[in-house]
Amino acid sequence: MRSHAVLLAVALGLVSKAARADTPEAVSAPSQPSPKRAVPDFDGRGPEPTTAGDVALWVPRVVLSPLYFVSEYVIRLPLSLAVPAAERADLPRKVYDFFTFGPEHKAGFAPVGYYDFGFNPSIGLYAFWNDAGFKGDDWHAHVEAWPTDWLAGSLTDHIQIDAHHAVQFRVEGIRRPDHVFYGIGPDTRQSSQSRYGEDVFNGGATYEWRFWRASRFQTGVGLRAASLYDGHYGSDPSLTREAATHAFPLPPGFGGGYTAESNRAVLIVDTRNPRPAPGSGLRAELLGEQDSEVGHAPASGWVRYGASVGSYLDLNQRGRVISLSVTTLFTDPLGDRPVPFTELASLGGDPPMRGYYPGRLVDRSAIAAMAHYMWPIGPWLDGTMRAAVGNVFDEHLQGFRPGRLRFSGDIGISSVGVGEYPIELIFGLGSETFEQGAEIDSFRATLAVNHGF
Amino acid sequence: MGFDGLRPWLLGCLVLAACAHEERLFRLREPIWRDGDLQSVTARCHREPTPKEPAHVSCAPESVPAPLMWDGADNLFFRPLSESLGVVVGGEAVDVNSLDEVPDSAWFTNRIGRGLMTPEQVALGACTAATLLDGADASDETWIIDKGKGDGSTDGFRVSIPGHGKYMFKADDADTPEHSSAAQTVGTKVYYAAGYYTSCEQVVEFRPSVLKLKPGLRWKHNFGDEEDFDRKALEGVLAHCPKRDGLVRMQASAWLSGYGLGGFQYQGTRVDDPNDVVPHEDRRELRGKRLLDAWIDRYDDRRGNTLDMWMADRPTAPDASPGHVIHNSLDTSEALGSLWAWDPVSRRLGYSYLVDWGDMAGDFVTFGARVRTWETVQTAPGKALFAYFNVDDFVPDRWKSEYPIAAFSRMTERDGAWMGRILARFTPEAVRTLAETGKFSDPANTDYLERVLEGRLEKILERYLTRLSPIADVHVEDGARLCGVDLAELRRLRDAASFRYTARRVDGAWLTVDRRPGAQVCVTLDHRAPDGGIPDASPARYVRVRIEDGVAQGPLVAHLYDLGPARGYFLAGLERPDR
Repeated sequence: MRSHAVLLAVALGLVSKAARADTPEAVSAPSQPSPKRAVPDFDGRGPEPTTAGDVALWVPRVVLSPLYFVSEYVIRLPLSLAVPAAERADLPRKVYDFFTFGPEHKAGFAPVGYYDFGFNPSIGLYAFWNDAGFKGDDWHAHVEAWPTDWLAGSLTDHIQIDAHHAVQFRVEGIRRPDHVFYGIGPDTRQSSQSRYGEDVFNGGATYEWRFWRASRFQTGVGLRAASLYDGHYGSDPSLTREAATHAFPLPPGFGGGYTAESNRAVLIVDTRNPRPAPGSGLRAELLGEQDSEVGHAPASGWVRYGASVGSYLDLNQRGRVISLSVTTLFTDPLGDRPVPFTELASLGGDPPMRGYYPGRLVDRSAIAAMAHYMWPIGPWLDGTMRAAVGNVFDEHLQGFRPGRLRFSGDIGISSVGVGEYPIELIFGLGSETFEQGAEIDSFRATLAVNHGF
Repeated sequence: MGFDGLRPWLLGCLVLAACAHEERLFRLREPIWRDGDLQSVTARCHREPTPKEPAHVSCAPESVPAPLMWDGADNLFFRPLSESLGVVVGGEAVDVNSLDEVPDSAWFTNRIGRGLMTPEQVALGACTAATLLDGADASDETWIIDKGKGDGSTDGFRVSIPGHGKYMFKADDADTPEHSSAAQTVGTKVYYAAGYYTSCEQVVEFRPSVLKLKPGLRWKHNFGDEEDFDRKALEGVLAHCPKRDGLVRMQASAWLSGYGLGGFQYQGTRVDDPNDVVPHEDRRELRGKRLLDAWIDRYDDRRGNTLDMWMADRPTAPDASPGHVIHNSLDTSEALGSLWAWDPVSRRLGYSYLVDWGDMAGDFVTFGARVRTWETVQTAPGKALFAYFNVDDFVPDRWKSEYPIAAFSRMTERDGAWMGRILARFTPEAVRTLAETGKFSDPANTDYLERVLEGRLEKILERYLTRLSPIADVHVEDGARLCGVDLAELRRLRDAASFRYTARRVDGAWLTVDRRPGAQVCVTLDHRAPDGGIPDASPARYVRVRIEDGVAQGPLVAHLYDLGPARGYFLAGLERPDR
């Protein structure tokens, strides 16, 4: 009787179990999960023995363990949880929708940033609205800032009339306190580094005609208003304080301001075709600009003009381009008033002499010869290397001697053909004049991400 | 404690480790040809809400969609950084049996590698007669569109076909008609034949009238908004599809059976799968897949193109336990030379990662002194459909996927040789058959695809069957002959005279070698151990035989137990050293 009861109980249990298994609830019924099985001994030889090499590997592992800990547990692990969760929440699309607007996402904005060693960095936003009023009507805006008086903004309306013709209207305003000044002339010393601030407003219209290959003609009118004052950055002295040490006299235009109307024309003849065509060819550029100070009697102003010629050779027709170029810049006053120092010919910041800070070399004229080599290192990414000699001089290169030239060199990477502004990482250096001993006294590192100023 | 304090300890470890090395003998046992991960297990139950059942509890492993962006970012940036700082090094694969082969498992099934497929079976792939579609003769409005495609870059919709099942229909890219459908079909058939789990894929040509659209459907693209999938949308999709004789061409992917768990990772193990115990980066079938991808130029192999399926014991309760996970490799539509939107990227595919730190650093420090393949690669005249898919520029061991895959990065010479032995079984007839499954309207495209596949295959075999021994199918005949097939000779990588076989016992005694038709080679073994008297597993019965073919750099070393004249030799293991 007892055995029958046991059998009945077992049978009921089985029936009950089977019934549960056929109901939807059975899917949800919690059950004890299986433990992880052991790793099979696949080849029948047991685990591999530890070798001396295995043991030796622990030495670098121990040495690098702090870095590994940060990489794996502070960075990778949290990201491995956060990013997939964001993807599951459709965050990328929301972010895309957040940064871009419209049915075809023709409008949007993106973060931008710039860091030039020795200056305040900046972060900001870049906004665009393509085909805004009509097809080819592209609006772009930049706003960048950094605490301590650094603020910049621009608004551009670029209208592409057809494949060859375009007009552009642009206004921009910049306030920054960390410009460098070392004095005027070819022999200024790095040790005289001082800071000044500038508030500048630029507005103007430009017409561009692209007439052949990369050749183009630009002409435009504009208005520029600037005020110049003592600045600050780190422990650097202000311009006035440094001038008080007789390192240099106060430059013209400092401590006040000016407003100038400008008329400008640029002619570039460039025999090269855009990428991916081979990069061999010749390039010549002529620049002319006439500026009239507003509100001054008698009339005063200045003219700025210059030329640049370069020869480019694509070594293997695959983007390894070596070039040689010579650039000259001149500024002459119109009338008796001296030209504000910020309107003088200047080298530094941009090519050709990128090893110097922007505004490092200032005078009435400038000349530089540059050798440049660029080579592809990735999709839309080039290596770039420049070596240049040049300097600024008095009017019309007066006082030019080879011994008064300086050396500038830089190397880095730069994006090509992506967006309006390149993404760059550049390291550069510059020297005193050869007569002064050519000692390297200027170092520069820049990181720019979609920078517009 | 500074380094000085550690030094005696480290030296001690080194000495101990060096002394601890001893020869590892194969055990006297049959090789493992089937792993245990196909056995049913019980997964932990957890809440997995569904739209219809917010309180739903699943007793399958957790379903996790593959993260597209994180997978790319992790493999391009974070994983390589962590592995470098952690001084992570790879060794030999783990799931390799005593005969240097991979057992059948939830990941892999030995098929053509063990000579088990005819060209017709290769053409069938994962399909069966029941899943093949005939769109020309189907009745009007019998193929029911019941869902719009939910993601991805291509247009498509789901179709339910009575008697066949459910399929995802995908359209070719309008700029490269017939390409992605052919690539998907050919690629998955290659995968299936090689041994991987994958879906039934076919090019289907049908009259538009066979379709019937269910009302109220929605669809969306990557980064796009969800929209109505109505008659107009359907007509828009069909308008861009290639057509021939009134038939529309699309790609049909049969719905996989089971409960979807998301893609598998190429590293680590799945925590909630009790069967998953071998780190994926140490699975030979995942490492060797790199070579398979190289063959068909499937650069898009990544987590998002894989899918784990939970196969419940009771199909009526798909996410119930017990069950087991099957790991599928899907979507080869980017294979056979497809393009990205940007040519600078397209020409790098297969040759360099999307962000390749090594290549970029190399090009930077050498100032571009080396001209890279991607700078010179060209499309074949008249074959823009296949983009940069060619033979001349293909170097098997330098091929790269679009971003580093942990398992691929760990592929060793032995893993590559294993896949090389599998690929050697793709005969020219099988390759022709594969090309024909692409159903190109222009026969010249079929011919081109066949030529390129055959040419790339020959390069792979030349590379991976001439370093480690290519002798496969090793077995003992009549108790006293050790036989195998030399795949390098079978594939005629050298003229027959180049193959000069020698064999000797490791103790020095030379053995007689016979050659047979079909590149078979047999070594006659003499018995030295008695039938009885000593245990079968005694080291005294252990014999090593070294066979060289005169072409490969390394020999085949067979490990046998001499069980005496009556029972003969027992093949316990194989090694393929590099010299």
